[in-house]
Parts: sequence; C-alpha cells; structure tokens
Amino acid sequence: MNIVASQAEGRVPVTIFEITGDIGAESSGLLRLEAQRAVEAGTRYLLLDLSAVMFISSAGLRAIHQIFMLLRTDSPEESDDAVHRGITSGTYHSPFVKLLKPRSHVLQALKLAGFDMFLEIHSDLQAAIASF
Amino acid sequence: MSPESELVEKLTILNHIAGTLNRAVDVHSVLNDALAELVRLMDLETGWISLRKPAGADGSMSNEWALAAHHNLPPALAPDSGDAWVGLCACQELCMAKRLNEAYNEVHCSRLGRAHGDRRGLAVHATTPLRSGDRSLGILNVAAPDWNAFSPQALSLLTNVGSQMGAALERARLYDLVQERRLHQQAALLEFSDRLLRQRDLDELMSYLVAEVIQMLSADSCALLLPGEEPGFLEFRASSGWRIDPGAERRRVPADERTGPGHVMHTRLPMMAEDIMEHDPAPWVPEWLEREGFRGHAVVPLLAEDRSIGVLVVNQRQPRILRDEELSTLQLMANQAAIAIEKARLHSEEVKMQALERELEIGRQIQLSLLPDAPPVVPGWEFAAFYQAAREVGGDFYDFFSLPTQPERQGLVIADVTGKGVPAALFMARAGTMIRSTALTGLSPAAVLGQANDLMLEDRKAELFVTAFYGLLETDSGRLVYANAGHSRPLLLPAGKGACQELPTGGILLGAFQGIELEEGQVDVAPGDLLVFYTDGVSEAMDTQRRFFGEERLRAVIAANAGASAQEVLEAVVDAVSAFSNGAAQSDDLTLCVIRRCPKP
Repeated sequence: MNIVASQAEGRVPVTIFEITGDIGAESSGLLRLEAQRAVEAGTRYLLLDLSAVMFISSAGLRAIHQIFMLLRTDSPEESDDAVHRGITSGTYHSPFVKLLKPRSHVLQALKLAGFDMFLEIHSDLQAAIASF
Repeated sequence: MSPESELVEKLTILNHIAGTLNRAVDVHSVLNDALAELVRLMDLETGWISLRKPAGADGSMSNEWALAAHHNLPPALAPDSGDAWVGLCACQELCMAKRLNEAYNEVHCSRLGRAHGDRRGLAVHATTPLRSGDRSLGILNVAAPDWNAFSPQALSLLTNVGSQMGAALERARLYDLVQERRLHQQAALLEFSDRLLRQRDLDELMSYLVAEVIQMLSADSCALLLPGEEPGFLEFRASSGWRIDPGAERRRVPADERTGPGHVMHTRLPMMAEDIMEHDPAPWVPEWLEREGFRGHAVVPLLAEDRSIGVLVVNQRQPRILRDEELSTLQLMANQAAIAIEKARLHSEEVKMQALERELEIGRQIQLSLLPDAPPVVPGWEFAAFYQAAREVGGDFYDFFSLPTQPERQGLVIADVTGKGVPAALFMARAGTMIRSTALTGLSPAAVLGQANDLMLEDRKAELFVTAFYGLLETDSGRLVYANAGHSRPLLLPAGKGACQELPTGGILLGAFQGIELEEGQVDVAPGDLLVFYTDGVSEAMDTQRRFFGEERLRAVIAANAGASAQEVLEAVVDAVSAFSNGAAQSDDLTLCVIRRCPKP
C-alpha cells in the first residue's frame, strides 16, 4: 500500500490521501499512522481516495473507523448520543472524514460493515472537496 | 704464539661455546657442557657458574644466587660440601654492586678461602660477569693452580664468553616468556570458545566477545557489526570502549567498498591501518566516528562456512599495528564467534517459532472450545457446520442453541472478529458469551446484537470489531427472524429456483458505536429451501494469483447442488474453495453453516 497526501481548498482546507494497493492487516497500521501525523500537522478534514484500492480487510475497516474517531470533535453534534441517533435515523455522516470512489469490491465491504451509515461516499473529486 | 694464531684460537673457542649454547632452547641444560668445553679449551682445571634468580617477569634480578653449573670442582668446593656454598663471595657482591664489568683475576677468592679440605692446589680464579645489556645475570668463575693462567688475552676471551652466555640466558628467558604467554593465550582462547559455545543469548554472547577482545589484545575499543534490517548497512550490535555507545545511537556503516567494515565484508580478508587519520586515501570517517579519536584500526571478518556474517572492529586511540600473532588471535576469536553467533541465531529462531506455534495452538484451542460439538438435530431440518482455522487463527465463531423457554425456536449465530491470533480468539470468546447469554433471555435478534454491541464497547481494551449475524428460526413455521451487524449476507436458495438470494437486511458492525439500533429482517423458509451462512474466509479465499473466490462462485456452487442435503452442499462448497485456492495459504478462518428444510415427502 502507498499513500500520497495532497492539499485542496474547498470552503475549508482538505487533506487528500490517495491510497494505492490493498489495505490489509499491516498496511492499515501505516494508514492510521499517516492520518495521525496529518492530524498532528493540522489536518481537520480528510478525504480518503480509494479509487486505487483493490481490497480492504477488516483491519482496514478498523483503521478507517479509528481515523473517524481521531477526527471527531467534542462538539454537542458529535457526542456519542447525537452520533448514534443520527446513524440510526440516517441523518448523521462525518463532516471530517469522507471517502472517494471505492471500487465495487471495497464498496461492498464498506456497505456490508455499515460504514456507509456514518461516512459519505463520493464519486467525484471536486464535489467531494466542495462537500466539506 | 703469534697474535694471528691467538686470535684464531680465541675465535675457535668462542665458536665452540656458541655452538654448545645454541644446541638447546633451554640454555640451563647445556651450561654444564659449555663450561666443560671452556675449561678444556682454555686448558684450565675447574669452573662454576652461579646465577642470580630473576625478580620479576620484566627481567629484573634479585640478590639471591644459585649454583647453575660446575665442572670438575675440587672436593673442598663440592656442591654438597656444606660450608663452601653458604653466603656470598666477593665476586658476587661486586656483581651486585655493578662493579663487575669484565673478566679479572681474583687473587684472593673468598669462597676458596672459606673452603675446607682438598682444594687440589687451586689458588686463583678468574671471574667474569654473564651480561645481557647492562644487566648482570650471574658470574662465571674459572680456576687454575698456575698463577700465570690468566693472561690479559685469556681474560678478554673470558669476558666474551661471559657475554655470550649472558645473551644465551637472556634469549632463553625471553623464549620462556613467549611460551608462557602462548600457553596463557591458548588457555584464554579455550576458555573463550567454551564460553561462546555455551552462551545461547545472542546479545550476551556479543557483549562478552567485544569485552574479551579488548582484554586479549589490550585494545581501547572493540565493536561487532552485523548486517541490519535495511540492506546495504552494517549495524552495531555490541561495543565496548566507545565514548558514545554507537549501538544506542543506532549508528550504521555502509556495507560498501568505501568503508573498512564494508570492504572486509566483501573481501573476507582482514584489514589494518596503523593510523587511520594518516591513511591514504582518506578513509570513511563520519563526524560521530571522528569524535572517538581512533587511530590504530583493524577489521576482521566473522567467517562462518566461508561467508562473512559480520565484522569485528578493533580500535586504538594511539597509532598501532597489530602483530601477526595478535591478528591471528583476533581472527581466531572472530571465527569462533561467527560459529557461536550462527548457532545462537538458529536457537533464538527456534525459540521464536516454538513460541509462535504455542500461541497458534492456544488460539486454536480457544476457538475450538467455543464451537458446538455437533449441529442440532431437529425433525424436518438438516443442520451442517464446518470450521477451519487459518494458520494464524482468526476470530470466526458460530453457535447453535435452542431457547429454554421456547424450544421450538432455534438460535443461530455466525460471527467474525477483526484481527488475528490469541487476542482475536479471546475477544471472540467474550463476544460469543455476551451474544449467547443475551440471546437466551429471549430478546429479539436486533436487541441481542445491540446489547452485545454496548457490552463490547464498555470493554474498551480490545478495540476490536465483530461482524455478527443472529437468527431465530421457528422450526414449526419455518420463519427466520434475524439481525445482521456488518456480517456477510447469508444466501437463500429456494427449492426449485436456480439462483440464490441474499438475506438483505444489514447494519453497522459491533464495537464501533455505542447505542446502535439494528434493523430486523425476516424470511420464510419453505420445505426444500436451503440457507447458507458463511464468513469472509469463504468469499475472500485466495488462489495463488491472489484472486478472490468471491460471492459469485459461492452462489454458483450452491445453485449447482440444488436438491442435495445440507451436508452435501457444505462439502461441495468446501471442496470448491479448496480446489480454487489450490494450496495457497489462507489468511483467514473459514466457517460455513448450512440449514435445509427437508422437502415434503
């Protein structure tokens, strides 16, 4: 797996991770670490470009969930209660982490695990940047 | 006698004496012969040699004396005659006072004067020091009854013989010293190799080695370098005598021709520089190495079966070149160490493998202990289940149980923990227990998984997710009520239909969010219908080209076995997955449960 990070300006500055290869047991640690570094360097909005990811394992899903937790804020809209109510009613999606163009197999894994219930999945880069 | 013939005679005598002295390494054993020869050649009566005992290994002499050789002594001077050899004589005192520099005539010999009995008419003797450099090792005395026996020429000859004997004695002393040092070194090397071979801990072994090299060669520092994780670099694995520990600083040396260690790794030959700071061409000395102030430098390869497995570097803060014997000692130590390091490495790999195998075995045991012994037996239904652990156990789990209050309802759980090994197996054990104990209270499937989710999140230590499907089957009616938290959708093959359908209701996996409310789905299973539950170990089984078995193949195998029993379908799927992966190692557990409602007769 390889990660190329870049910056884009929408209404807010967005960090884009272009991920290439499989997100498996070992690479998921690296993904989490890179996200951690980006957050320490000031990233608040992260778009994960999954268009070149062939496979995501359960460890990869866990890494994405951990990144989601990392970027969650302490605001009332982000409280445990608000998030679980929002997820259940379908009104909550993370304003901080979004996904771009997962391939069908990866999309299937994300949907199966219910990750589409709290993460927006975009198919267009510009629209994704503008949505933050 | 002409001066020429006198000279010839003198040289002949000296030559003879030298020949005798050189006959044996141990000069003491030939001193008697040399003395006898001298007495005979100079036409004298008798002679004796007394030596000072050495005071230390540095060659200094004590004031104790011993009779070392004698020839034809008169009865009055016999070695066992008591009085004659007690105490010092005047010539010995002169010698100790450094006043005996050449041969001279001792007219009044104090020892002869003290001696009682037959002196065979001996009146005078000449005495000469046995010298080595400016040290007097002893004295040589010769005696004759004739007052004229010791001409100036004879005395000069004696002086020369004394010097010759002194040199021979000194040579013998040095030889003994070397022998002693060799013996000491050999003993130390034996001890060293013995300890190396007994040492099983690699780090301790290497620390011992560098300390021992410093001791053996009186070097200032020693370091052991082995190829590191990154190719092309040697890493410091042990060092001693450095001002700043290069291992702790994670210093590395490029393993190429520019550096001494790199060069030695490639050529497998030792390398030395008397002074690296004066070396031409200038060697590779980065700033951290320069700070150490090393000058004298030697590198030897660690050779095991003709391969260099690393290098040993010895440094001195003064210019120094190792002598041949020091270099061969160093190489010998390095070779012994190489064998011991290879042995210790194999040992530690073996220990690691054993630990891993043990862990895998524990994981498998935990896993197996959780699974039901046999699928349930319910009239009108067939149940079949299969579980195969990956080499590194994943966290698959399945369970069948009937509710105590509603025996006509059969519960089925299939679940998968993210992660592998013992942690995943332990977490699965907890999660499985949580699901089962909640399910036995009779709550609805969605409520059961919701409660299990919250219990898992309270148990935050593991940070693992679980995908789980829980279904309650009314065996009377065939209705299956279920909830699915992120698990692979089970497949239904209705009787008489050629294609599988998914059980569509899903939801977020367990362990991610507190308080999730899962949707519940239901499906009616008619006689002849088949249900297949599986984990992603089935759909994501890989072939040798890393292609997935996939859901499509799974659906096709199930459809192709329409009408077969639950056990037959199960076996067909397992065979298809096994044929597809064709020996490729599977990274995940493989779990499959098949339920079939028997067709109406």
